[in-house]
Amino acid sequence: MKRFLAGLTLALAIAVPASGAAAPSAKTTRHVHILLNAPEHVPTAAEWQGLGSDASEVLASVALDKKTLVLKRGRAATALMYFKTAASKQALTSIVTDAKSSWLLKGKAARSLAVSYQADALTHIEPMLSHDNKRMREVAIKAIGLVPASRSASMLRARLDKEKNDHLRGLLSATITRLAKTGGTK
Amino acid sequence: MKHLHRNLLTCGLLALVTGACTVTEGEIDDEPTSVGNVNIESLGSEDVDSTGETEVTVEVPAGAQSFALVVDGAGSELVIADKVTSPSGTVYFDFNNDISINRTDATDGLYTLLVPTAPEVAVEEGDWLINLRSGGGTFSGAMTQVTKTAPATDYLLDLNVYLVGLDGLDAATAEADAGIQGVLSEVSSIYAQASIGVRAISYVDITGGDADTYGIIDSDAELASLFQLSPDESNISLNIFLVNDIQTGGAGFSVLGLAGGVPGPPVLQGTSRSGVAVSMASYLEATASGDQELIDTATGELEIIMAHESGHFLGLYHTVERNGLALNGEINGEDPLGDTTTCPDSADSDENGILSPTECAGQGAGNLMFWSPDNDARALTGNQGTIMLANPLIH
Repeated sequence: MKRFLAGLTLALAIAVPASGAAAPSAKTTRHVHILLNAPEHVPTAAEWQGLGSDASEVLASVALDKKTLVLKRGRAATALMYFKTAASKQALTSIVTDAKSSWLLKGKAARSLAVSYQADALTHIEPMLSHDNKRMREVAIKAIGLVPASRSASMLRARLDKEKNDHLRGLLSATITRLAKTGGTK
Repeated sequence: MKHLHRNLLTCGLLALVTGACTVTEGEIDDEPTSVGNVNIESLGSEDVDSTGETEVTVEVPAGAQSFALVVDGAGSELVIADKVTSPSGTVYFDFNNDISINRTDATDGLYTLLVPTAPEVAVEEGDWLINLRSGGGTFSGAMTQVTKTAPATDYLLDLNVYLVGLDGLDAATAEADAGIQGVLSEVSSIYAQASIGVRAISYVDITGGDADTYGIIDSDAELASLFQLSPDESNISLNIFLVNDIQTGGAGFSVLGLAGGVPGPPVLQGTSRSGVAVSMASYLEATASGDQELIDTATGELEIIMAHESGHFLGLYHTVERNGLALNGEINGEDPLGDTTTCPDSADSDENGILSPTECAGQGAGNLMFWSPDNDARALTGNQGTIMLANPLIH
């Protein structure tokens, strides 16, 4: 019974991530989609955050929507880095740990997780480092490289010992060196 | 290592017809080179600083349809024409006095001044005086003049399609892929409004380390290096680089396509701005999924992006920018064309500072060069067609 109640509480927390806050306004939803649809425009952090925290729920919804084009989903996952909300973390973690997610979408989500949650994100991203798809490994290296922690460097060094692709070996070496300069090997 | 796959009009055939074929940037010497109706001539090097006193004379022959002055070597420095004066003394652009009849914008690295970018600009015979200025420092700029000496005869835009590290799509499969051929056919249909046909004349695989590196574009520097992988192509053609993803803003946010310039350097291959890059991830994933609704959406988007970015390269600007204002404080906020509908600031009904496609419906959002074209934005105006036809790339 206790476990059931705990599970129910967790489910409710996920279903109403913003502590019972109202659904995002139509204006916010519309504005988010305008920014996600503009093909050449790269919105700034201020543009995203200026929409208010409920924009993260719209972005999370887009990022998880399998009927949306992957580049738009990826854009939404990237924009979620500007919102440390429950909806954001849940969506990003879900994408990164979903075996069926594409390398592009996982890469965007991994990057946002790394930026927002630093070392706490590494556990979710690490399995991508040994994926068969070289693009998956590439986006994982880039995401892990955003976390200046000794664990990041250790993960990348371990991968360097096994990596056969020259481009990725170069990327691993450059990232390890950069992390060393920024204190990531301490 | 590149593998070339060509069809229809090969470089060799072009050489038979025109007496010339490939002239890459590195091969330009002091003697003019002709490729069909296009002359390419090195004007040597000039020091460019922030005073605007560097004056370059561009000699334009009678009957010329357009000309471009391409300035290379600026590095991270911005460069722009300070003043553009015709042989009869008409000032078509003046940075200091907000005259922008012939719009041009500052760029770093390699700068292209194209005349005309508006139909009001007469391409007069004689000596045009171009003053150049930098954003602050001094650099030695290599000057190249490209002149379209006579009107187009075939009304064609030829494309070199580069496949850059894409899963399941290479030069051989793209040439036979009904989806890709359908996209090119639709781009041609859009350009038919300007009486221009579009066709791919070569498919090129970028392989090995270059495919790994440039399959995902992470920075402006990578994009510039990608565009430089084009030195072997026929000059009268536009390079379209199909990559997985482009993220140049530093934060990892994808853009769907980018042109090497607005306009790009016409006819010069192998420069840091010689082409257009298009993100293919949505199209590839949609086709792999078999979901027809996704495929249709991705295909429509790809058609628009390819046509829109190529339009930039040919000299078309956004009809209006997202907030109706100039970007980055520059003096230009909309295109210089009189017949494109400019969505007014008053259309911003939700007052969020952005002119959305919905708010601008019937007020320019249906134009291919709207700042954020949706999949229905396929219209071109007469003036846009005039500028595209005048470009040296249209033969």
